[in-house]
Amino acid sequence: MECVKPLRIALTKGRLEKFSIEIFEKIGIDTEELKNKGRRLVLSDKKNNIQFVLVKAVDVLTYVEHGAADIGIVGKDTLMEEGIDFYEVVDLKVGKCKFALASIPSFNLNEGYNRKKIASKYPRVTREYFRKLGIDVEIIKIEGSVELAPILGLSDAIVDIVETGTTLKENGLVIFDEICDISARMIVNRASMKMRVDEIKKLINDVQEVVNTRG
Amino acid sequence: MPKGGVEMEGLNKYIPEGTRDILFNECYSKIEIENLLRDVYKTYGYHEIISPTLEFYDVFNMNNQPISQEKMYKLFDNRGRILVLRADMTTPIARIAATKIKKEMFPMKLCYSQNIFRVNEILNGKLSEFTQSGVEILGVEGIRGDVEAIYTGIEALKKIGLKDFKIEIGDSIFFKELTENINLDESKKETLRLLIQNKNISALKEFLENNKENIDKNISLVLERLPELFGGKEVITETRELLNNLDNITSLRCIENVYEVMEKLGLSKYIAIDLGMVQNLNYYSGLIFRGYCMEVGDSILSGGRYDRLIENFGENLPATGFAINVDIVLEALRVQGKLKSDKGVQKVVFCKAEDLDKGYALLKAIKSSGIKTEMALFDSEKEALDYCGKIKCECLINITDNIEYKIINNEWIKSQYKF
Repeated sequence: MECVKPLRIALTKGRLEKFSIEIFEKIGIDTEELKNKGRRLVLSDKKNNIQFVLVKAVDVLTYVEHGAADIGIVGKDTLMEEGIDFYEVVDLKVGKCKFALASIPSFNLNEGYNRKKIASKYPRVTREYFRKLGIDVEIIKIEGSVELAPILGLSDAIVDIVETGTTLKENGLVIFDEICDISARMIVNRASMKMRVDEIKKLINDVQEVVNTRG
Repeated sequence: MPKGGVEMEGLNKYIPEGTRDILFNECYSKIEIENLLRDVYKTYGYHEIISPTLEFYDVFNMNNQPISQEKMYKLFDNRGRILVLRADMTTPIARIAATKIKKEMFPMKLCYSQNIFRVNEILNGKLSEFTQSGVEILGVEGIRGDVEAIYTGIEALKKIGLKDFKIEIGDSIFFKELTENINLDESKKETLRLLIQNKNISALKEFLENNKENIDKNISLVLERLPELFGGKEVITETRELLNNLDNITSLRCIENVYEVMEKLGLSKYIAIDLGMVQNLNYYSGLIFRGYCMEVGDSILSGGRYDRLIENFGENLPATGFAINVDIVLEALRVQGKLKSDKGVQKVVFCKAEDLDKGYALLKAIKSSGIKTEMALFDSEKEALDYCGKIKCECLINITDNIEYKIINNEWIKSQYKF
């Protein structure tokens, strides 16, 4: 059955935006509107019947979960923190970074019996990491510049995303453990996957191929 | 001391997040859908049941419970025992089957249409109270029960006028059978299962590569393809080839058999196969299925076989069933433009207060001829006529003065009325 409704793809604004556009360009999607978006929020490729929307990372999940967007491009960090199951069909291998436990050099996780305070923008990831270790910690949610927390004595350590490690180094923090790798993922709404099988399978294959050839 | 305003009012003008008031046409449509679904079940011989809104927490607290405890609304009864607002219907029906229904009554088919309560994350746009309409088929094993459930589900969705929906079928045993003889511990198998459930193709490849000494070559090939093994009947053929016609995988046969029945019934356009459906392995014990349609992102129907559930209540009964999420189906029908609105009133009767007896006698007479009619609740004929305009009713009978008003060319035309 021919489907007139365009395939909607929600892209994460900011860091991942450029990478996503590159990939879609390589598979022959017209990204002209995306690149010259101005103040428009919905950008289309009419020829391929695709619509793009640019939203914040967490909102990508919300749009895709409700089926308002069929497909989303979002960081693994957001997926882990929100804890919602999606079809996570392609690892785009861009926007690479990792979750790490970091603190001032004198920090020792196993020292003493006092409950350690851990500051993070990612409380769920933090909780699961420490549960796996079997360590009881107090988690403090911080919205930004998490590196400050151990320096000012708000927390004993932090769990945060580390890309190059420069910010940590410049603020005198060191990594104590690398929790896991993160990169951008392509996710698909469950109903869309089943109702638009051919279109989406093709898109997945095309994108996967671009990822493979880039190595 | 609070001086009026917001503090004094409290929340008395608001409703909790995740709940809603359903008014007029929406209410009409919802009830209409529930009735249509109920009709389908009943004409196929299902018995409707009602279970309490409140259940003991213990009913839902079991190994492999499908709904985690933080998703249930809890309260205490007058003796301090934990109660929950019914968090699904299958569990209470399992309790009823094991404790209330006489053994010789099985096999038995039950249906229901009740509200379900789940605690949602704040502001995620999902309902905390929603209606499920569904069936449970108790005491039947294998294809007989599976076909009955899927056939009834399709008929139900067709009956309410839903277009372009798909029921996808899979089998929770399939993954178990595939991984039975591979040399991985349970936690690794669980990792593998999650990768397949979430169609995490690249990570799955990596996992299989890292564990290749422990997994048979043919099995590994199927596992790797599993996230993409969905679609039509060709999926079965491809899997057979990949498995090199290994015939000890009984679940594949199972899916194929059900598919073939549906095909012969001319219903295959509603059926898709997804061998990568591997959720909740400890709860489901055989064929599982889910319904989707284009207009909504959530599944509209979900169901499957749960032969081990009723054990928790002391009886060993195989069972299968499904639940349709009425609120989501309602949304899908609305987008498809398939919602019918309530028929308006065709006649309004007006009378002076002292003639109320006459008025209601007339009302009854008109109604008995099958015409939808209502009494005007006004003291003057003018107000009654205005009301007719508001509700788009084109006929008013003033029984006090024996006058009939009809709209002709947008104007009220008066004539003599004889009762």
